[in-house]
Amino acid sequence: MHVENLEKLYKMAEKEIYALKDFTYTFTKGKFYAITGHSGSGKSTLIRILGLIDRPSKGNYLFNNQDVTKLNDDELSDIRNKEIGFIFQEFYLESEMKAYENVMLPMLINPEINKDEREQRALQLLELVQLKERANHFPKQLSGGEQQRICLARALANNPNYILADEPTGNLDTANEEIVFNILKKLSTEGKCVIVVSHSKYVLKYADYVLNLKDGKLEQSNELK
Amino acid sequence: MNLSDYFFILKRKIINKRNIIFIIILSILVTIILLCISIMYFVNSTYNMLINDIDNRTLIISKPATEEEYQHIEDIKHVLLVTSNKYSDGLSVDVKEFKYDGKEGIVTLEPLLIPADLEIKEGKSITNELEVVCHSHFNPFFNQFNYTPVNNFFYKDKEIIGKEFNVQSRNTKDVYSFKIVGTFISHNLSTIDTCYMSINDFDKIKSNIAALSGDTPIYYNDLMVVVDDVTNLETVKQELTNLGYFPFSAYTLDDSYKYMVTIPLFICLIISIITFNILYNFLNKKIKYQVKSLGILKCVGYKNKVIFKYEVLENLILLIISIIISFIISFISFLIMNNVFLLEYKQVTLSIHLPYIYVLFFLIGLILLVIFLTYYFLKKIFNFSIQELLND
Repeated sequence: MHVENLEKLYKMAEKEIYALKDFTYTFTKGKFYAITGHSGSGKSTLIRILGLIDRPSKGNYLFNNQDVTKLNDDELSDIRNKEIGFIFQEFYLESEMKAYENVMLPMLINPEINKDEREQRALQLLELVQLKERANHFPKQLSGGEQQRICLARALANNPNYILADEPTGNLDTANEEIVFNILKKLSTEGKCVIVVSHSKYVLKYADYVLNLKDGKLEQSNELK
Repeated sequence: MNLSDYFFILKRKIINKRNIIFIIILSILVTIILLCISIMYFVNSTYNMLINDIDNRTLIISKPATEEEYQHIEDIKHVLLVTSNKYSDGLSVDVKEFKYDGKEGIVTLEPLLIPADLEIKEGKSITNELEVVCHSHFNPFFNQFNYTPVNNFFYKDKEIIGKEFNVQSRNTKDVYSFKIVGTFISHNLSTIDTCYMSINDFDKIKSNIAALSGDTPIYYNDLMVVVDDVTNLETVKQELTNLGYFPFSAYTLDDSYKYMVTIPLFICLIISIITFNILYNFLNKKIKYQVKSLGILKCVGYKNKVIFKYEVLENLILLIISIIISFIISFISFLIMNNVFLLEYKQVTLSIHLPYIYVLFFLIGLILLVIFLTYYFLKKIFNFSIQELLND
């Protein structure tokens, strides 16, 4: 995942605001990246662009050596479905669907996963996030931490190579925060690229690299021992 | 993604308060439209039935002097039949074989002038002497009980086939025994006590004297000229005038009846506009309400066309449920109207029912409208980024 001179410009009335400017970086598989910075520093904008949820105003973005800035909506959808797992602070679960059904949602449009395997795979993923016994619960019957773990299981549904999380522990207590970060760390050691935007100091305990953003620019990037 | 995958999502999301209210409202509106279409069709077809009745297609002229002149009249384009006006009136006879509550039945006997006017429902048509076909809702008693069929008393088709009844000739006083060989559905306004017989049989029982005025008998001396369609009546009338006759219509129908169709048409139009308005607003609000959910689907990789198919499927299921409910309510309404309201007027068999071809057009239009509106509102939604959708 390589981005070069990435820019995101918001035009508000007569004002132009750069949410992201001249961001260049390469993210590799098997590493855990933490993106930090103050509010308004462009962290969430960056992760949304990396997760193909938003488009940059300018710059290049090579995803698996493919320039994704030139892809159409359908092609981006395919990459989001198979290559990227995204976790939000607000969970964004389907409230009418049970936990295991939420996890199955991305699998329904993935022809590589057999219809008969879906439910079994969803239960395996729920087991991974320690929620197998809650498979038949609706989101509103679960705590915030449990909902976030359902989200994590859904993000892993199609076994993506990139896990992106925007403040995944922002609404969680410390116990749940540790569970989530532990799972993310485990995934990175298994070869997945994990990129987490977080305010939490705990993230530094797990990250291999930390990227600090300020006013939309990469201020500092460090490898953590 | 196959159909069962769409239903996997739908089974959880389709049942909610909003959709149930929509189904109820739409069912009521579709029912009203179906009733309007049926009433319009009923009024219109009754009018067509009335104007195409043999009486309205008949011109009366005086008898020609020669056989050649007679031939000229028969050769006129659109003339179906030229015969004595003796056959223009039926014959009411008492039939003691049909008895109810101490009263004898009365049957109206008519000559079968144009076999194409009758559609045999059960049994067979007249092929031999002394055979008759009677109305499919045969009731020889409605005349005796203030034109109201008593206790819903009708002979069923199969009950009357094979029955025989005796009629005394008005000419010779001989008694003839007629056998009912079939039942018919009338395309004109035959009363429900009507039985048709061959012209020869009719001649046997009906006198040539039309009526008695003092001591002087009046004979049937005129000719009736039956035209194929009421629209050709004026053309034939002109031809007969050119040949030196003075044709006049046996019966003229009042046009005001036709304007009755405009009332249900007007109601139908208003209800259609309301239905469109409700559909538009509901689908708009429904999709706006689902914005976050659509954002989630897009986020996990659902393409726009997949989301469109999913939304169309959901909306069509709601529409089809409404249509099924509407059909059930409509059928119950027709059953009540036909058995309670129209029963009073069942001297003739008029009934309200769904004109399927028009209903089909209406339903296809409704389905296309739902598909188009879904596409229209989703297209607007797809202009937003996933983040904007998730932020609702």
